Amino acid sequence: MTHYLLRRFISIIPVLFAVSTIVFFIIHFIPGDPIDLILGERALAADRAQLAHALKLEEPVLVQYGYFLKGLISGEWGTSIFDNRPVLELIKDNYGATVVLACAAMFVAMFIAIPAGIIAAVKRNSIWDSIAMFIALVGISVPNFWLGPVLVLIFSVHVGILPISGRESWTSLILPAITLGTGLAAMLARMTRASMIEELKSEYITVARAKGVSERNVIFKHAFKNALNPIVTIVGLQVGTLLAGTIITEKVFSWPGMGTLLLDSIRRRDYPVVEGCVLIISFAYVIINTMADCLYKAFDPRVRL
Amino acid sequence: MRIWTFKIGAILICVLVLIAIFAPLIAPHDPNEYNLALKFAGPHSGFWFGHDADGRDILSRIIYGARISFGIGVLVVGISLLIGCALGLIAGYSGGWVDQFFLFVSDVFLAFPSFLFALAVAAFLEPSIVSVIFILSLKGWVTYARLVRAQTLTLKHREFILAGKAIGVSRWRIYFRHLMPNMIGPVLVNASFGMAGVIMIESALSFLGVGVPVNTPSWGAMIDQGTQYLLIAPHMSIFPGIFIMLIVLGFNFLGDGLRDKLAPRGK
Repeated sequence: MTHYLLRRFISIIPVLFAVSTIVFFIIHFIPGDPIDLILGERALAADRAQLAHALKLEEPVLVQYGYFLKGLISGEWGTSIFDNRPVLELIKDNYGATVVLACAAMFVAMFIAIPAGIIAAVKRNSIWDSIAMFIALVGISVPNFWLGPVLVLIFSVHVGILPISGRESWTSLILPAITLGTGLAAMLARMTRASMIEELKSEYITVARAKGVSERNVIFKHAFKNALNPIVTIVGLQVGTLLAGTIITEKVFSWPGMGTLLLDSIRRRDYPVVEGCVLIISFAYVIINTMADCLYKAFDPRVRL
Repeated sequence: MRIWTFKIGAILICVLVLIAIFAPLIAPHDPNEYNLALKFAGPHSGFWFGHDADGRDILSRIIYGARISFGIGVLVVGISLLIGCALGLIAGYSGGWVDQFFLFVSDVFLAFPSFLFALAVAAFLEPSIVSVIFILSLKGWVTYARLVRAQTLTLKHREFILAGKAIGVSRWRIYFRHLMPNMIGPVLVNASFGMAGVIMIESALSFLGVGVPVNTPSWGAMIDQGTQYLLIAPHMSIFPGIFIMLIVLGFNFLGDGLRDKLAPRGK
């Protein structure tokens, strides 16, 4: 087991290295002079030279890549062009808010999806199943950059019970969490239904029913307990996607997280911060996905490690 | 449920495709005609969806916006399918180091969340339709390539492929005449879900201002403009959002229905 986990985590090192390389080359090989993009075409020659020196742009690309890798390993991810603060410090200040939002969205998704999925599976092919799965498909199809403003309009403007934006109190978290969690809830409900249907068809369920176990116990103590394994894996695999999905939700609700930092940096052409944000979110995505994959294998006794 | 999801999906997509094709005939007004006297005006006679911040007719912009969404969706999925199928077939059929190299490269691309990857590239390019197509195709091929590779691995040891090889059928003929027709079902299902995903990401990029150029009638950009005036003109973002939802829902229904039709064991 330990050997497997070690091997699995060592195997992501080349992926992380390749991810970093792609991010570096995306930023350095895309057409257009970065100095022009940052300072504008009419910038003074002295300012241009100073920025080129600060960004080490006068060096050959491969040397710049060497500096980039060295900085990546030593924890020196550069300095923001906009406010002159270290990139990692900016990320540290914003990451917490994104994690809080992602966790809240995950809670909302599970709170809606698991009961809906169980009901749809137990009452398979009934009107309840059709309604639940129809709502799930609609949920997957609703863009969160539209759902957010619609929820604001209803609950903040017309009903007036929740704040429009910001992060002043815990109530500020409700609308962003629902906005971000809806798509995931829809997917999770479908997954729960499929997983429960598989379990309910198993022989041990027939045996339990034959022994006179109550339907409630058959569903919750037997079927759901075993159906939980793939659901947990999907939840784990979606955490990474959720982190990336917070970008839009944070913009809609002015939530002070990584997404807001990334979008502000894109607007200000603050490349070192953009590079840092993309790297951190991608690293988190790869590591969380690997952990979810390992958890699945660890939980399922049929999978040999 | 399964029969009607396919039917609803197909009807929705057909209607929206017709709207996109015949936009100049259907649109009641010029989508770029400014009428500042009517800016922010809500739905009224002759202008069913109201006006935007520049007084333009929202319904006409939505109708023309269908062309952007479908055009980008079809081109991105087409390019991704072409690259993905070719690479997946070569990797799966060749095996060995070719396959290992392919797996590593695709793992690296899959290590980026799709939206983040698109945003990271879009941030450094001038907003244009060509840029959006390039950005979305850059990673779009991976899913199809992995699917085709997996299908190729299961098919390449079947008798009809071995028989083809034995009588000296060329590699490319085996790829496209024998392997490809046998995996068209799962590829089509994925392409349908892929269209939904591409349209959603294109709208999201335009919403963030890094997608199609300003003033192009894109649904995402219309929602972005609408959210700035949410309190005084909510219709500006509500209507384009409904259309994004309908088109994505259509492709999701179609994909779901197709999957059930093509894989009866999944019922």
